[in-house]
Amino acid sequence: MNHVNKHYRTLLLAACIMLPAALPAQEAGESGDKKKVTVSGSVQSDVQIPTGHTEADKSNDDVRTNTYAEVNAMSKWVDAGVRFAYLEHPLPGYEADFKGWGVPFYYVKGKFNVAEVTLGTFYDQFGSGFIFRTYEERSLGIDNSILGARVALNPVKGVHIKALTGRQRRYWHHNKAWITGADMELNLDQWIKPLASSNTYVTLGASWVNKREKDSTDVIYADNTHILNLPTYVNACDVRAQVQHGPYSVLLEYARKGQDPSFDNGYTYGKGYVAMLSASYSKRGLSLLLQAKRSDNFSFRSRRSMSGTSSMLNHLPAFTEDHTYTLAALYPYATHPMGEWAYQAQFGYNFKRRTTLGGRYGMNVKVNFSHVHSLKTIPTAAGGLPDIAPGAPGTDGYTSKFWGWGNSTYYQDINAQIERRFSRSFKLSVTYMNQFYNKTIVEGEGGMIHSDIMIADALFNLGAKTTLRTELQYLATKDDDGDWLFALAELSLAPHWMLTVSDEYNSGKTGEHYPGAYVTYNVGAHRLQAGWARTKAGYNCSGGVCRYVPETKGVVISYNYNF
Amino acid sequence: MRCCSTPNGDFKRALGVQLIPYVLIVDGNGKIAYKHNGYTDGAENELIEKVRELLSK
Repeated sequence: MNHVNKHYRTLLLAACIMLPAALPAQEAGESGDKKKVTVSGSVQSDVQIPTGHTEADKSNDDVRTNTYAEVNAMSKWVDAGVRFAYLEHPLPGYEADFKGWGVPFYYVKGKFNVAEVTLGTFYDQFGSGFIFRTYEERSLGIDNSILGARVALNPVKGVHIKALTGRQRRYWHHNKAWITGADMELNLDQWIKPLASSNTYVTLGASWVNKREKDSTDVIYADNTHILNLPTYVNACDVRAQVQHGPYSVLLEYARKGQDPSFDNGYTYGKGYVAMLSASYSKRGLSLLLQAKRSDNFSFRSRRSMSGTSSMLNHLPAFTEDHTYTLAALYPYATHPMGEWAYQAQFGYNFKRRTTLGGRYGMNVKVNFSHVHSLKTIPTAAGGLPDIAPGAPGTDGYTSKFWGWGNSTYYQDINAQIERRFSRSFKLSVTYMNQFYNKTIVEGEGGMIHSDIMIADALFNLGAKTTLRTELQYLATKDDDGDWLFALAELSLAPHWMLTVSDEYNSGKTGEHYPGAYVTYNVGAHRLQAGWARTKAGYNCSGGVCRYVPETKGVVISYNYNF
Repeated sequence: MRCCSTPNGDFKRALGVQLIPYVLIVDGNGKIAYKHNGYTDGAENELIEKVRELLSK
């Protein structure tokens, strides 16, 4: 369904491996022990103990932690779950209201023949998330569940209906606005035999979301004598169609939103639009992805006066690659809330083993291109009020032609990666990237940063259970802080131990070092990591959503377990 | 192949998975026989050993 988010793609792979074996499991469970209750859950605790000067990250707490514990119980008819979070002394860089502790997540779900009813908190997504997506992303401090009721219906084969209502969580409170929404998806191939028999799958979807937010909480002045008449109801809708045939898949999705003056759009009254086309071709050893998306005035929050990462009702998927290598992610792009044209193309190819280019073990090549551009906008005048400037609060903001491009490039990334195993004991992956990052647009100032990045990632199998992985990275730029170097060595003693040392060094301007050393112990579903690191200030991003993290220095302990 | 992405990570949440990658081996009876949290180079050897052990049962 979603081609866009890297995390999903990783998960997709994991799910594919286990599902063929897991399907009989469900049948066995149902026909067998009907009273059986399955309990699962997880514990995650990240601890930081600052060393040296702590003023740099504006915190005086000696020990900080983000700790979560979650338990879910599942049975044939009823599921229930609860999560405890302790964030009273949180890790640095989260929004102020993130601090606190308690039980932010709890639910009971009844499962009947064709219906599923949830009471309590829940997460959901309609289509690609243009008008509705609530989720938890701990690294970003996002947990914007809805507290209320949700019904999912599957009345006949191939028809999926969801309806929900409630209020959205914003850290330790709930925003006052009522959110109501519904989504329907039809799998046409379930009814039209020729489709299914020709291996063609067609899915149509439509959804609608309504926000009811009283205007009494916000008083916004348009000029000295006029206050804005804020709409109590905001409606948004989304339609989509996906066709899959053999290796081909095409997804077309369109969403629009009514007048929704907010802090994000400067309290303007224009409508919002998103259109997306995503096409992919995938067969063994070859994949191609082409995508284009135009978003326009589509920030949708459950509280109109909010900025930052909280209170988002929707999610516009990122069309730029989420990089994991340190220097590749030094200048990460965050989806622009006001609007952009975004394009992405990705090509992957596997040269088979025992061919001229593939060599003895085969070779993988991946090329990715993404470009994000401003919309061409013309500010709208306020009819009859000469004191109000065009595009100012109270006006429609701007008009823009669908195909028009503005003057700014927001971001561009061209990268190529080649991965090849040379022998049983040596594998090498090299990457080159050419990035343009419009720091002014993403961060507010700093101009355009043009960088070339080179990365070599080498894997040495030293013994049956001993592996050494090294990374060398170089980022060259004449802009901002100039050149950066990064080196990492990671020794794995399978199956339990991993030792990591790294250093990030600014050779261009500041001469500062940001070293780190970690020990990781892994056994089954337990993972414990401990170390010391100095991390530079920067943005931590996932799926086009970013969080600023200040510079930190200290002992870091991280424990993760699930059952 | 038509596969099984779960939008918004519902599947991940149902299993209580926090870190990706996460590997599960499910045996012929549908029971989870092995879990591995996170990634360690070379841990795939442990994986294949476990699969062999389950197959020999």
